Amino acid sequence: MEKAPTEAEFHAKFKAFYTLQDNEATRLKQVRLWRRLVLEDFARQQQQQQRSQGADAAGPSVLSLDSFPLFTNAKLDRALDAAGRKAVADDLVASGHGQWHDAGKTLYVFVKTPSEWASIIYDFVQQNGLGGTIYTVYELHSGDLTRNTPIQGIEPALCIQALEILENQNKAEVYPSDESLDETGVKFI
Amino acid sequence: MGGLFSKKDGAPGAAGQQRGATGAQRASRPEMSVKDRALLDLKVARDRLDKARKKHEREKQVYVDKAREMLKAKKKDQAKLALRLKKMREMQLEKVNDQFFNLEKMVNDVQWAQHQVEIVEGMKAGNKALKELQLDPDEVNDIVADTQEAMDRQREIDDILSEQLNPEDEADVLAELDAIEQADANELNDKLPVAPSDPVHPSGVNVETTQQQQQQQQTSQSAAEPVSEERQPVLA
Repeated sequence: MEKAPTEAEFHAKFKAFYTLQDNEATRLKQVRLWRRLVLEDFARQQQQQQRSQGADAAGPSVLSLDSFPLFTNAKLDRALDAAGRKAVADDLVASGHGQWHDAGKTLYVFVKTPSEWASIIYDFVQQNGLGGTIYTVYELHSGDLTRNTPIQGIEPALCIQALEILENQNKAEVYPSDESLDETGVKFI
Repeated sequence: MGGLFSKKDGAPGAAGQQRGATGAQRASRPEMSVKDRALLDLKVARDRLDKARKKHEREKQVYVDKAREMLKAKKKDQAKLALRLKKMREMQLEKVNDQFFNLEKMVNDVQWAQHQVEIVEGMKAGNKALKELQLDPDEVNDIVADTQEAMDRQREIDDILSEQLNPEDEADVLAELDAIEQADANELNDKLPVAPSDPVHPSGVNVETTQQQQQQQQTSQSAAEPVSEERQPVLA
């Protein structure tokens, strides 16, 4: 029943993975593998959440640098040190897959980057002819419009970031609300 | 950076002031039209009701579970209480559901009304374009008549011209044509084999006599002649 391990999981079984490499080229590869490991783990978590609790209950994915379990491998008796964890976190932010919540301590993790979401949302709008009418962010993540589509359950703040990207591309207009993120309006062009 | 997420900003209201996580300042956002504002407010109200509805559903389920637990623990009074609270929640839920339905309907009506306006605008524009493109039927009639006149005139001129060129030659040409046709026919005629002028054999009787004749002829004459008597020319 066990699926074949991914490349990142494969490397996580080696002690060297938990030491930040000196050689630049190797370090680059290592950090990238860490990124994949983190994203795979969070993607799995999100799927489980969706299955068990439904779209409402899913909270934002937060990575805590101190307590993220995959940073430590008990079997190998190795753990990624603080510098290594910071490097991984910085890489996540730089690649668009993360955003600091509490700088240096906790990080929001985006399995899909905001730009990926922007494309997904825009394609969805085009295919379903949603242009020209105004919608709320709540409608996008919890409405009937997006039932059983990948957009259902998207974190509002992440959604708004994606929408702002579309706005910069002149594909949408965003009307922020003073009350809550869910009440942000968006009109697709 | 991280306007929406950063802990320091705290309240979600930051979204309105800080212009979001992308950091870039959006130059000027067009003001929402009155219609859009109305629709947005309507949708926001509907969303709030939806959240309330889901909350009521959850609470109702909590009471159902509690009732079940109490029954298992043999606390009948507590179970009854839980069920009554559940019933109360259900009634509230029904009211909320009705209101939600009303708002949803209103949202749909407003959107449909907007579409209707767009449709009518479209028809108006199409109508106008069509009118501008259309030709005046009287004008067209005149043009067609003029063209017909011109064509007739041209044909007249052609006739006059062709008359002047071949007044006498016409007859000569026709005569020559007839002569050629006749010559061709004669040539063809000569090439044709001659059809026998003998009477066609009636069925039966004369065939025998003919055959007898043939036999006699065969013995006395060459083979070609009787064959030619029998043979009918085949005209393609």
